[in-house]
Amino acid sequence: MTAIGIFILLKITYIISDNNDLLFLLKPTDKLIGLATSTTSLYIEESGYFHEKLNILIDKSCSGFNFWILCFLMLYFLTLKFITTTSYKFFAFPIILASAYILTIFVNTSRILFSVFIHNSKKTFIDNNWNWLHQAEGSFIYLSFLIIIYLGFDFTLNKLKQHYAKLA
Amino acid sequence: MRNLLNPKWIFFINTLPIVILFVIFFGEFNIIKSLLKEENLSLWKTFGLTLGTLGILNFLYAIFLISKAKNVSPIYGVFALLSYIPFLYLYSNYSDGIIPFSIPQWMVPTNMLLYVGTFLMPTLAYSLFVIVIHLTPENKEQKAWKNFLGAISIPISWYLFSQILLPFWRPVDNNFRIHILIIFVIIGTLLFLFFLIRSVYILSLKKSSIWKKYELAWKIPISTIFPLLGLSVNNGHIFNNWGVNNSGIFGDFNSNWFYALAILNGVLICLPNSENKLYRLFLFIGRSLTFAYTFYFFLVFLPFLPLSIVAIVVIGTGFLMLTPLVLFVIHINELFKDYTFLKDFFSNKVLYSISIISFLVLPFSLTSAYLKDRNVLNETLDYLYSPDYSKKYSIDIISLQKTLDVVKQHKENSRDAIFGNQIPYLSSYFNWLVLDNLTLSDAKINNIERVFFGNTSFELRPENIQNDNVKISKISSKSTFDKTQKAWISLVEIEITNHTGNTWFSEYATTIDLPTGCWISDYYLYIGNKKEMGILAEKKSAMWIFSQIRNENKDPGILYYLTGNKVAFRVFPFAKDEVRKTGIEFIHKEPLKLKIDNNLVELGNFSEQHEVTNTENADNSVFYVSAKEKLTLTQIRRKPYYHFIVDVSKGKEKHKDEFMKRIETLLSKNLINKDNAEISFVNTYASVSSLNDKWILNYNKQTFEGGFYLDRAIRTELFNSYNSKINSYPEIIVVTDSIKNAILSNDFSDLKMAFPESNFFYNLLANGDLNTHSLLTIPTIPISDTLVLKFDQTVLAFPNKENLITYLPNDNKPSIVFKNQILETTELDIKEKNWQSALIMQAKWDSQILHPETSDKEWLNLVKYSFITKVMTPVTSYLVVENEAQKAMLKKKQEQVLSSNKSLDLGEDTQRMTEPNLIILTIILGLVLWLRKKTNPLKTR
Repeated sequence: MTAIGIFILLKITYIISDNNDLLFLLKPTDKLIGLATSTTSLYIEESGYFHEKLNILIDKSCSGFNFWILCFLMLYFLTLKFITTTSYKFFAFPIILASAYILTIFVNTSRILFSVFIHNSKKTFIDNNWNWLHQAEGSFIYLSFLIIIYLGFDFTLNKLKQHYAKLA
Repeated sequence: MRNLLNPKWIFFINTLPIVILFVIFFGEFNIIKSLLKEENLSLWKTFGLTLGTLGILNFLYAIFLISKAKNVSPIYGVFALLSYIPFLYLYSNYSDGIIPFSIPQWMVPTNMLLYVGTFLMPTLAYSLFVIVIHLTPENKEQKAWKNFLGAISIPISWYLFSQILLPFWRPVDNNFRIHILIIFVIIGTLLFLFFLIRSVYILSLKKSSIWKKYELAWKIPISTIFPLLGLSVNNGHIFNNWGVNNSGIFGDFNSNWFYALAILNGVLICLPNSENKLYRLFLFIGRSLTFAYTFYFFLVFLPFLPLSIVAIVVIGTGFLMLTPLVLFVIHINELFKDYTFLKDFFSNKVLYSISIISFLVLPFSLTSAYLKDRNVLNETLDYLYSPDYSKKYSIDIISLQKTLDVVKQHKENSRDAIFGNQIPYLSSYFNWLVLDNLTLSDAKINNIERVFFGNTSFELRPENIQNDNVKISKISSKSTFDKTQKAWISLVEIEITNHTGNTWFSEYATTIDLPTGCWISDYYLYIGNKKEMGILAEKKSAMWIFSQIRNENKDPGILYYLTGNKVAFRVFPFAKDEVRKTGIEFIHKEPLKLKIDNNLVELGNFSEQHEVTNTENADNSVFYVSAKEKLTLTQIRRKPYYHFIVDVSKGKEKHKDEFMKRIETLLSKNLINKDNAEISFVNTYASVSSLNDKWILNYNKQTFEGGFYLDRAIRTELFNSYNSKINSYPEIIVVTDSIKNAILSNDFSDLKMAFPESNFFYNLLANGDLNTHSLLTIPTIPISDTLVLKFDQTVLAFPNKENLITYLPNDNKPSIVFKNQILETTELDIKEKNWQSALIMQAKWDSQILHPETSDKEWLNLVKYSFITKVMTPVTSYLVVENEAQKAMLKKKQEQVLSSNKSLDLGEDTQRMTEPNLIILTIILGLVLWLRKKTNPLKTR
């Protein structure tokens, strides 16, 4: 319940926030994209990071915030299956939030790079169907990563549980 | 109800509301912080810190209890009451300092004070619940009637106190008396609510007593009769002591949905709790569904709970205010009973899911209805205000009618009642979701209704400007030629005198017709002995601020574009015989004569000859063609053709035959060749076809509905004609029984480039004669009945017939030409007080007139360029204000817009790397994980 509460709170915060408030997500993502594509960007307060060469804009709407809160919620629920002690539950909270943050930077960067790659292929079909294609491609990448993270995390926790069960 | 002692409730009841409250107030603070003084800021800090500390203490206490697996103690209830009540009391005392009156009303939501009450009241109610539960052990026999008696005795003793003792009570200090009274009211209210909650709680605990036996006797009144009665009293249907007519006391709950849901909720609560599993499940679903309704009213009435006791004393019907609270307790109790029964048949997860989903049905239905309203409204506004002339529109008018009704209902704000005509919280939600927190002006609603339904809802009062005797008493000009940019900069200094005999404040208002290639680059107004320079601001904000200041009788002066090159100039106020000094700076290429009222001033020196050739910008896309250069261009006579615009609006089917006859009569006169003639059947939309043999057949097929949207029909025709660049042009002939009823938002000066031949269109009269109307000034009024009809005007081919860009009017005036209809410019082309930059901005504006669909995108650039050049354009306005706070607001806005983009111009095809939709993602992920669990239950365990 607390996790869902935090999820809702984060979403509300997101609604009222602007590019400046989300710099903690935008900046590292922008740096990674800059590294991967050897491009430089310009930060425009009202618009976000503008990569002139790629002709893309990384702003609030592409900060990865949605992924972050969804990933956090998923991981936290998964953790709760394995943790019964209340104090551990509270302890796990910031760790999972931070882990989800790191994963978000990585996954969001991948999504944007993939999107840039598709867009640069300059196919007429892509140009005409850009919006839904971008959404579909984003959903595919996000979901793939979420499922991989879920399975990996579930597997690790199971192994850990077995390990401790043996020790006990 | 004992479950309420679980400390987890503190997160929902205290932490969550406080966090939301902080979010709301933080957003508000960001808007108004620049207008707050030191003492206001200190109040914000004190109250913010106090509330934050209280919230954190509650949060830590809850965590402590959870870790120790303990229940909430009654001491918590006492402490919470003792800390939050003084907080609320002090907050209401200092609320004037937290949001001072100097803050403009539009910056603050109307119910900011109520927010604090609403979000903190759950804590107070919860504290009372905690105390009641602790003081009412289940294993001990309790008497409900004693508590009822206790509750009733409080309003009675208050009544006696107010009638007998209060008149004799005269303490020395009046403030002291008020404070003591308020403290009495708070204590009395708390005791009253305590006894009331306790009696209801005892009743809910008694399982086999007489209360249980005759439970319908109290359930029916509380769950059905009182809510219906409450709605009726609120809406003024019965006991209308409040003089409330259309709006309710606590909000507008007139919709039938409220009554229907009240009955449904009542029935569901009163239905017997039988032992049948399926029946009970449906009952649980139904009760969970309507719990959203009970919860909503509980929230709405929470901040008014303390008022209920006063209402009982003053007017007897005040007890109805307590219904939501009592109903809330009963509803939760019934849900809990259902849950306990169903637990034996279904898992906890299933029951939780069912209750949550059912609870969300009403909010989701409301949201989807609002989202539909939003789509319809956006489509309508696009069609009216930023249309694509080449696109066909089809708007669902049934849905639009419904949406407009809702917008009107939410918009009305009666100050008689607490929430006025608004529906508490839902109106804010509607305004946020549908209107993006903006309002739709009465004029806009009227316009939508006229276009789509042929009627209007609002009587718009024309602005009353008392300026008959306010006149220019002295006018002079000074001009200098700027050799670097080869343009004149002229300052016109004006003295205006109020000759009115009365003591009313008067206003000076006039319209200046700016010649082509002349723009306003500065403005000042003397306020007392101080010369205040004009601030260039975004037009809508500037006009809003002007009207606000005008209402306060302060000293504003404003300049803004009306249509085409017409600029409104207003100064306010003028006391009796007052003389005020003002000045306007113009930037222009050639010397010219400017007329202000009846005064003609020369700008620039006609004796100084500076060569003006075809001026163009860097990438050859914008040209200034001087009057002299026009003499060298080739004259062309294009062929006119008829374009009939026939009124097929609501109720015009009866004129069908007569209109056909009018057209036939005109055609038979052979004024111009009827080849290539076209006909538009116009109501909300315009359907265009050529005037061939089938036109009568087409006419018969038309649906007569909506208003006669002549403005759109003419604009679309002019746009098409401008685009085609063919060797012919349309002569627009309107066929209607009343051109005065045609919908014409404005004149067509801004589209002047699209009708170079003639500035006229014609109204075809019943006798087949043509009445001439101007496209440039008040199109609904005919110019003159005796004007000779001429269809042989010539135009000029620019730059020549072979490489034609456009046709220009064959007049002795300069013209501006732009090559590409959608004009691409960069900030690099824009320089301060630069004539060339102003030329580019004008061309950009003109191109936007032809393509309103780009206006949303181009608006920011237009405002920004105007700010950089300091040259006023149709999207900006020069304003002088006296009020420092408003000056600061305007300047801040200007800086914000300017800093938004320093050197880059984002291209149209710049892609945002938007994330996938969270809801879709959550649903798909949930489905995937659920499927995995289903298909592989062992592994996932």
